[in-house]
Amino acid sequence: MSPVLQTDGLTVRFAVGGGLFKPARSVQAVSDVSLALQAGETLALVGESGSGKTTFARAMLGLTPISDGSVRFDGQDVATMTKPQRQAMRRAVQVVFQDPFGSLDPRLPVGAIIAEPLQVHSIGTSRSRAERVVELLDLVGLPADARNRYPHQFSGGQRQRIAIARALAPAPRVIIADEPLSALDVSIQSQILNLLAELRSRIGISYFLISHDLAAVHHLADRVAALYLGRVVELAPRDALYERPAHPYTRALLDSVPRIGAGKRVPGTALRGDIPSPLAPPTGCHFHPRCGRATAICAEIAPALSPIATGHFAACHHPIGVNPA
Amino acid sequence: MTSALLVADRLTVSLGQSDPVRILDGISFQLERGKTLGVVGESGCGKSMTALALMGLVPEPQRTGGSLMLDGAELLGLPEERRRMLRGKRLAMIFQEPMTALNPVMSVGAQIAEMLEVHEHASPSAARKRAVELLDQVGIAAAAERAHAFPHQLSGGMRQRVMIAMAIACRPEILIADEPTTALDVSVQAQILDLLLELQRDTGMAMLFISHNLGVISEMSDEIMVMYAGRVAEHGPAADVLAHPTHPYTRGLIETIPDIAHRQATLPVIEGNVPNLRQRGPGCAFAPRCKLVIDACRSAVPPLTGGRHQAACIRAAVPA
Repeated sequence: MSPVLQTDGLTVRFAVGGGLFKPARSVQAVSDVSLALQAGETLALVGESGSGKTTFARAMLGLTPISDGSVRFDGQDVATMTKPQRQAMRRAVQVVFQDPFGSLDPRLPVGAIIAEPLQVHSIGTSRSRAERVVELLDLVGLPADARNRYPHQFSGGQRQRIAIARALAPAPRVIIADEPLSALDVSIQSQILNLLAELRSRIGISYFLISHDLAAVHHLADRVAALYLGRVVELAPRDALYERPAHPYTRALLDSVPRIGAGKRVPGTALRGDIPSPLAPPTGCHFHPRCGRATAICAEIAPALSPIATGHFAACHHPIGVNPA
Repeated sequence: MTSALLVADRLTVSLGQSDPVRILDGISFQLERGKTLGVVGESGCGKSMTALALMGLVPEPQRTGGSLMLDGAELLGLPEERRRMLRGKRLAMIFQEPMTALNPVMSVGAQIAEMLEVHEHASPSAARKRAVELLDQVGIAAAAERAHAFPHQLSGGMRQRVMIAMAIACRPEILIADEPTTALDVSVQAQILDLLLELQRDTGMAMLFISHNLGVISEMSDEIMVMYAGRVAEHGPAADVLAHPTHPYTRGLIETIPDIAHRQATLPVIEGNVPNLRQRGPGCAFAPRCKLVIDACRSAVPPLTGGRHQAACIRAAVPA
């Protein structure tokens, strides 16, 4: 089975600073990331701010120029696509953003917002589009009369449903969801998580889920990739990653998630230090200055993402639970 | 209970002049030395207003009712200048976004020093020296150099450490932390939570810790107060509230959060949204979203009942 959406060695560099007499420096926001999203699969990208999650998503969508590597849709390199092929891809890959307040046009009624992608891609007649809007509203759990109202008349959770309906309108095969829950109240987050899971089982869509919320990712993802300073440090099936994390950073990230009902915290377990500036990333393994397992080699050579079990990869010289060869 | 440092009794806050909205509707709780009261609830439930009422920072036009006693002395109705003397000195507060709370054009060391000069009448040089000590105490490496840094030169976690240094500068008896880690990454959040617990252990300060994140509340609190639409829904010892929640809202909050240890195909949900405070009916504010609702719930606001573990629900004894 070939992947729907795939990156090979995707690298994104930004020029920063620089002026008339000062050379610009370059920041590598995404470094050599190769990930493949299979049909019907949910692949999650986790990491803290500055890890490159959002830049990676933007590069896949063609919203940020790629410096090296490639993005392929249905096996076809987007760089060499013909115009019709590119249009087909734009229709098949849709996005849901974090902020349902900023991503919906406040001057359009909800029906027009949802029908817009259909119009852009010249799908159907105005009548069939109107029918499709009602069908989509029902699919995301909103009443048909919502189409005549405006975004400000809806709560945050309802707006995120509208954004999801709009993304679903052109019957995409992939939805890239960038922090779809983080602007919502806790009781609303579970409603949206359930909706995303239900849509997946009803229409067999693939999700690229970008999130810092490890519990939400655990709920929805089939596979998880952990990013640190632009590099994939671990990639594994969900249960393997949560139960047997091999990279010390993944382990620390999981240990940092506050647990309900485990009693008051015992200070002293937190990961030390801040995420380093991507302008001056540490040599070798980017994580070595904060890592309890680091040795001399970690400061010198960046470890490659290597298999440690079936489908489980880690970029670490001293992965947890793996005996040195 | 003799050890209570601060006692809030049926605290109410109404905002607005012509058509006031009751933001807090009869909140009662106590803060004890060395202990943390965790306040949890969703947006609009009154968490932050509780903090502002304690600090005496409720925005005008407002009306505050009930009682707020610090060490046996009433705070409500105190003239503003007396209230201001307490702020920073006996009660201090840290916020979610330190960038907006810090002065962007003043070095962080100078900001802390200024505070010591005002409240403790320290000499400029002594204040400067103490500012560096405080930065060191909150875990900022190379504190003497970092004291010269401006807020924008520091990371989010560092800025929150600076805020905490400023808050503890005058050794307050009560620290109010309003979503102090919400803007931070999880690994940095863990560091800040550790720091607050260590400071509490060393100074014996009482904490009012506000968060929408039940995991964070669980890890920080001795007691938990669950708020809903400006009222207390449930209140009790932390372990008890989390293991045996009795209010349907608390139960719902705990169940709806995905749990890494117990994955469920479909998450339980609380239907509907947090109500607009103007549209709270005569009964329980949670009634429209409650699965256990009966007619009596809609006719009168249920009182808090129970011993150390209380809930404001006439259906609290009914199994979900």
